[in-house]
Amino acid sequence: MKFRYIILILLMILFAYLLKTHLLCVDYNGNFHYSSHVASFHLNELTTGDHQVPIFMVRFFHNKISVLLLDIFNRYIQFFNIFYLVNILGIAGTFGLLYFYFSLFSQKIRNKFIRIFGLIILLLPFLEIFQLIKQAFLLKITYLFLPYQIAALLGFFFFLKQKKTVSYTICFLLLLLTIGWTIVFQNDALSFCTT
Amino acid sequence: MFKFIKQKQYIPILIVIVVAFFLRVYQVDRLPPGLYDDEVSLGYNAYSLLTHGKDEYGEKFPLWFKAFGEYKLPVYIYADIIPIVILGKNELAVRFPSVLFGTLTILFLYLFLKDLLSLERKALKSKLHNIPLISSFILAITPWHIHFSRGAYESVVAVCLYMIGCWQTTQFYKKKKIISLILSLSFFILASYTYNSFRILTPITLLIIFYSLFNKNYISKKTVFLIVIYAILLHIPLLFFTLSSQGYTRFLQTSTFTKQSLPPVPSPTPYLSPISRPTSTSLRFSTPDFIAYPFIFLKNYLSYFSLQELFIKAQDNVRFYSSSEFGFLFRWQLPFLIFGFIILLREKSKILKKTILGILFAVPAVGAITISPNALRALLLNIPLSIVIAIGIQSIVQYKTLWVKIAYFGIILFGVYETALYSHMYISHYQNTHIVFWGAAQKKIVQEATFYSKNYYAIVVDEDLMQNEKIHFLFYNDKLKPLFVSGSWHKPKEWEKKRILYISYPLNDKTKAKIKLLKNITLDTPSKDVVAQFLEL
Repeated sequence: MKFRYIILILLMILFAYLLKTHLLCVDYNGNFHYSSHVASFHLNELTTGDHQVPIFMVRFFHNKISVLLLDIFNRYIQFFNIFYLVNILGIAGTFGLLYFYFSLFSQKIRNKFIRIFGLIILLLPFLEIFQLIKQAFLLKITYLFLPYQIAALLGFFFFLKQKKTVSYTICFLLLLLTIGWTIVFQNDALSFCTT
Repeated sequence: MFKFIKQKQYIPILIVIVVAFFLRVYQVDRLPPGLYDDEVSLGYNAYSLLTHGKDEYGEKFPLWFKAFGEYKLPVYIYADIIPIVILGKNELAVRFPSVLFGTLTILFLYLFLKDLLSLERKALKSKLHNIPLISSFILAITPWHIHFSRGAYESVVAVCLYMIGCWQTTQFYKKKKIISLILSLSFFILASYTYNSFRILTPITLLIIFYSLFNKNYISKKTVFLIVIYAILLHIPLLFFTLSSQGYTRFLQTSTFTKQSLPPVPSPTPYLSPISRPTSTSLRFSTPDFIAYPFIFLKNYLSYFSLQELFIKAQDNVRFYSSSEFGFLFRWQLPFLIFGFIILLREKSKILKKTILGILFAVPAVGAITISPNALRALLLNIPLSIVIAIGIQSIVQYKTLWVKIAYFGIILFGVYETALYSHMYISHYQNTHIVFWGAAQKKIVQEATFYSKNYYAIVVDEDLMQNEKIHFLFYNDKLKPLFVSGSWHKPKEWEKKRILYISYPLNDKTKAKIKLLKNITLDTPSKDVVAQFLEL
């Protein structure tokens, strides 16, 4: 068995471990969901915060469209925030995911299916933001965790296929270290939860 | 310099600098509202040096300034003397060094990038030829840099000095003139005398420069040796200071390794059965240091790359962010930032890539040893981020497909709207939402106390009213000399027949004998919150 497959299996073990250990962090409450009530409350707060400002300016800056756009952006970004990714993928997995997108956008990946898969991952958070699929949390993670993990594995696979340079070796050893460190030492308390 | 102004190619950068200066100086005396404790301390020490040649504690022209249980570095205070001479002792004068150096940073970023690109391969140079101008413009309009340049922050001055150092270093590599190298080292070291983070960042930078000088034969080994000696000599006072108890006080106050900085344990998810987690305090004692410290460091380090912090809302010190709706960068900059990174990582560059990524990954490492994220300590991060965004902008323009053009147009449109929204939030909302975090109330208290003081034998101030109140009295009216007392203070017998002005929190119970309410001090907000009461005893 090739060395790179051993590393990928190790990464899968890490994902399973993280799924078991750090699931508590990601409850998809609050920051992840769009709520029209919260948005209208926020809009109200913004408009009442304006004093002695011409009404057309208040309407121009604080309207439903701008609040909606900014709010969706704020929710969407949570799904790619560094702590969220590290929670579900670990440092090495996050690196894998970033490398996957780097390879995708720099056109190192020519496979059409992988490209579509990469695009789908970018769209999946919208299902959760608007709560389009209301189901059990454990089922939910299959479309919110699994695609990320597959992309991370693919990214790591592409990274391992790279030309072996000094910076590659350093990077690889550091990532390997983080996998080992996470599995051996990291526990519930040493998590990257930010909520 | 005059040659620089005469050349037409420099007109765009001059326009950018004018815009940057306007964004930093417009209403700077009242936005942010009032000088907060550290600003007042910097301003008063500069004023005291100017008038008496001493700091607020009576030390003659000190190199380290005692303030609020720590020691401040000297550059900002000495730099503030001239604005105080010209503009007087006021908010504008105290904040002017920040405004000026903040604006100059943009100029030196431009010059630095021009020289850095000239050291690059021809193909890359022509591909990225607009990067200096675009980067400068991005830095000029970025909320992070604008906001800090509008307050008296030593970090802004240090970033500017560091940029001058970088520019002079590239000048040296370009022209091989020793004077540029000496100037670059001097500015780097001056930055470490300006702000604490640079006490770590500067030696790292110098080591990299010395390493390259030893490895490549730009100058003779003897000259390199003399230059190293020069750098060490300039560092000696700072080294002694750093090793003294005065020097590491600040580090002990802010270090993430001496304080409990692990986050609170999150509440269990409703989806799964709760699992008992150790509290952060018990964790601190139950987890060995060799496991906890790398974890804390890593978590702090990653926090500087949190999209939440950068684009939505900063979680650290509320004074550090300029609107409750914005992070440190604009949301429209995110696609360009991502694209810029991809382009930068793909490019085969000699020095540009290493320099940008070097600063980008080194600054958070320095910040991560203290409580993180801290936007002020990581202000230098603004520079590589602006460059990467600029690379993204310029590279996207080169794509000619319709979809890219539509996306580009959409982002620019959203960008214009978001920038206008930011200006509106800063000018119209900030005053009301953040006034309590700044010093407008303290200024009002001193002004009112000055007005009432003529009719009273003494002014007594409740120490619990506001922290570090004394420095505000010194700055706004050092002749008042109020008496600071604890909340349990009662009028002494010998003052029984004297009229005393007592300044305190709004009192609910009038337990102090013969209290007469003179005035409620309110904030200049629509809600007119009472922050203090003037009472006659």
